Amino acid sequence: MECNSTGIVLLDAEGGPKTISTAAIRNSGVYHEYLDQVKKTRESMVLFLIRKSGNPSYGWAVSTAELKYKLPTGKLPIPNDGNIDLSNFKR
Amino acid sequence: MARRRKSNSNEGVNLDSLMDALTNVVAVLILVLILVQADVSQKVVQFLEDLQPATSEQVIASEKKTQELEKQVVKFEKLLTKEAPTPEAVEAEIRQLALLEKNLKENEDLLVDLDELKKLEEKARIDRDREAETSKKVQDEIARLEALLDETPVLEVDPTVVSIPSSRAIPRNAEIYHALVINDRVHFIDPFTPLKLFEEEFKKNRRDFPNERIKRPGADGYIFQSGPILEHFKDFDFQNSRKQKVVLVAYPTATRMHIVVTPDHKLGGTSLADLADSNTPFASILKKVSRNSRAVLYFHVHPNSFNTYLQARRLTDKADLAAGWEVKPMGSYTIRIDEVEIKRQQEPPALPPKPGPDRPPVLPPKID
Repeated sequence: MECNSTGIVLLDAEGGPKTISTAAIRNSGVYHEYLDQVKKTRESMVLFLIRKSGNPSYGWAVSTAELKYKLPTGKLPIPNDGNIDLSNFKR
Repeated sequence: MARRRKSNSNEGVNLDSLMDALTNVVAVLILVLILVQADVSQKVVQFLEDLQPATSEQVIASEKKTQELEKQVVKFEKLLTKEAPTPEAVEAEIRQLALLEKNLKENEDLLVDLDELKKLEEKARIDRDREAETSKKVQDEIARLEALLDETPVLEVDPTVVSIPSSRAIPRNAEIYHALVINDRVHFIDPFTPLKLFEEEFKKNRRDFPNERIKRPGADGYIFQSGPILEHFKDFDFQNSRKQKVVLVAYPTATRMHIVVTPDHKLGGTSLADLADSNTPFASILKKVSRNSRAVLYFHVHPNSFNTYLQARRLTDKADLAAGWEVKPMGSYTIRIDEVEIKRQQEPPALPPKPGPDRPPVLPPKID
């Protein structure tokens, strides 16, 4: 999940990336469905990819994932501004 | 005369003198007539001599003018035969005339605007030409740079390798060290040594610091005056080997003192460029701290130094030292001294509102 200055982007959501604004994260049905899906998946975690100005959206997104869904989370900084390509991510 | 007077007296009224006078007058008149006649003859001769003969063009022009005048005469005669206009028609004509005069004035205004527009057009053309010249220069520069780019070989940059974080809570018995990552430098912060030195020094001089004993359930407490303590520690050596500034402070609204550690942001710590070397201060610290199995290194990362953090984190993982991080621009690190309570100098302001719609809940730090 990408956290940027405007909100979050669910990079591996069904049907392609989905964008949710910072103000809408807490009550977003799309985000809650996404977290439900992660919760149902075994040995899963939510990985937040934080842009330089993405800390506020990260704060809302991680608190929802950890406090409401009790999901394990992790985070990585994204130093540059280019598009995120997950195709080389090793599983 | 005497003879005539004599005859008159004898034979009635004598008219000879009257006849003389009349004859004289007639003679004078005849003489004047002859002179006038002669003068008129001279004038006529002179006029005829001075008269210029008309050319054929002048004759044709005069004929045309005559025809036009004749037409005008016919037109005026027709107009004279027409009926006189009614007052309403005259009024309508006056209105029409006034309207025409108004339109004429507006047109004059428009003509003034037209002049302004022409000036603006001229100025716009000059600006356009100047912009075109500038654009041409820029395009030439772009073309030059593109040509230069085509000739320059592509630089191969190795990607920054990261691993998926294994997120977990920080153990209760962990010893948490800190690292401030800011302006592409990593500053290691040891929060234990200055606190330990403070406590030792404080214990030695405790009796010298004015305090107030407060009865509390369990054990009585002591509330110290911060001034004498601050004065004592003003030039205290906190034995910082990293050239960091360590200062004891007492905030007016706080009931605890703090030790503030401020690194040198320009020359202190380890720079991003130096992180690759194995003999940097940061590398030696990692080596030393990693011997402590309870040690955790927590990075406070400024958004301007993500790359530096990734490099430092790679070294930390390589040293097998547990670590966590957060995005937080911190120029200095503050250590709270819980053991010593001080007297508050002023009441704190009202508490900030609890986390609500404006602020997300704060989660505890963790290893990730």
